[in-house]
Amino acid sequence: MSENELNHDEFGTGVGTLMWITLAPWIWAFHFTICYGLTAILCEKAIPDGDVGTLRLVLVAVTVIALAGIAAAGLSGWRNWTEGGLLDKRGETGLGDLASRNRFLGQVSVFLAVVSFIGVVFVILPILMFGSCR
Amino acid sequence: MLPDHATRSRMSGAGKIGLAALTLTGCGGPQSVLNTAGSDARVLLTMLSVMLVGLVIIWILVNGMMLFFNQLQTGAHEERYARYLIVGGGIFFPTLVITALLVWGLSIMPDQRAPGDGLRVEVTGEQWWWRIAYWPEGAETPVIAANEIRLPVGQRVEFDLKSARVIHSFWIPALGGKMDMFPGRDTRLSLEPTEVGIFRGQCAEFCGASHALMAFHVVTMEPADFDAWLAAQAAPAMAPDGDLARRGAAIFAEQGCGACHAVRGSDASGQVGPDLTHVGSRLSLGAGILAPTLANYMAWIDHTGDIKPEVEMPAYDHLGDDELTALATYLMGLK
Ligand code: HEC
Ligand SMILES: [Cu+2]
Repeated sequence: MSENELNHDEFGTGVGTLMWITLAPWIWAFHFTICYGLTAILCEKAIPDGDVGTLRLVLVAVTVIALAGIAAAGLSGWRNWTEGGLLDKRGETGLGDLASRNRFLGQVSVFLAVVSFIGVVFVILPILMFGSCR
Repeated sequence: MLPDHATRSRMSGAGKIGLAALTLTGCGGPQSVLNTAGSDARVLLTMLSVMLVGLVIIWILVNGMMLFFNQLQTGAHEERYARYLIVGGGIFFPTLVITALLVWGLSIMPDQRAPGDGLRVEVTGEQWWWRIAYWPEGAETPVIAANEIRLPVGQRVEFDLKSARVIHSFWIPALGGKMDMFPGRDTRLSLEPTEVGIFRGQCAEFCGASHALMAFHVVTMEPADFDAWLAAQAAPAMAPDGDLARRGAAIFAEQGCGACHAVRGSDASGQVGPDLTHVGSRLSLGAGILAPTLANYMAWIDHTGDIKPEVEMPAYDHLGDDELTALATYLMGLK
């Protein structure tokens, strides 16, 4: 397969585009900051003993958006990873040529997306299970 | 039993034997997470047991596999099979286990923060003792005490934890988990004792030279007994009974102990040290470290700093034995 024939090379060749593989962890980080930051500020300033229902709804919405973003990042990685057929038929991923570089970066971003997905779910669990700021 | 101060300093010879005995009996006793007397401690113990058993099983599995693949089946393995093992055992299984533990852990946390059934106890960590204020439901002024906590069984009691100067940590292993105490910030903990008994708490965050000597007794009582006890604690101090005790009260006033200590009902109203209004009713002396005997009271006043390094109470070593006896008798009479 020649380099020009790749259908999926979202990661390109530049160093700048390499950063795309960190998209999912970045979403996780933002989600984490929003959840913890918002809860801390609101529980301290606005609703120390009050109702967390609205806060919970807002954070669930943020979580849905975050999970969708991570899934999209994972899907894009998956396409690059599986470009040209299943792994077994292509041998190892690596950095030897553009095609295998793409497969490797795709694989990495899939794994990062999986970790980020689990991370985001773990972050939202407490607010779902605790009914108050206490 | 609390050691007598005199025997305590001579103990080092028998130290090793004592230590061995301590480790052997470490599973029971008044300060053990394995000897539970409250609903919160019980939940934690269940969690500990489940995790311990699970851990042993996983340990055996992992080591068994290492043995298997290293010694018994050393040839090359089919890639497909290896991948299932790695993805299954390395990703799915741990994620599942951690998720289950997280959900379980989160599900028990709200209880440990739940509001109490009425009684609130404010505990302030001092160096190196405990300032305690009981706020029964609806009370406008608290009942002040120190260095010992009594609780009614069958009720959830809320603790309001504070600290004067450095970080301490409040821990009664038989009743529940621990909670840090910060200067300038209140933390909360709630405990539900279920069994009557005498337990022990300990400061669990290093807080200076005498950190290890910052403990307290916890007495859990039937609610009616507790109410009677609290009413007695709220009352002013008993008048000294007998000549010796009266002499002790006079020395107490003369020596200026009242600048730091309060004895409600007398002129002593100091707030620097523990409230001594009912010090004679406590099960220990010096924040859980000495048995409340006459000899220990005398030793404490005579050479405080030797017993508790860097203690914020001066040693009164200029007093004679007769004066110390009088003081100790007076204090022990403050039931
Ligand atoms: C400078 C202040 C100060 C003075 C003066 C002082 N104390 Fe103390 N005292 C303390 C402090 C602080 C503690 C707590 C020490 C600790 O456990 O870390 C204490 C603890 C005690 C205790 C133990 C209380 C308990 O709950 O176990 C007794 C008894 C006591 N003092 C008696 C006296 C007597 C008697 C005098 C006078 C002869 C005296 N104190 C003078 C500060 C003072
Ligand atoms: Cu401490």
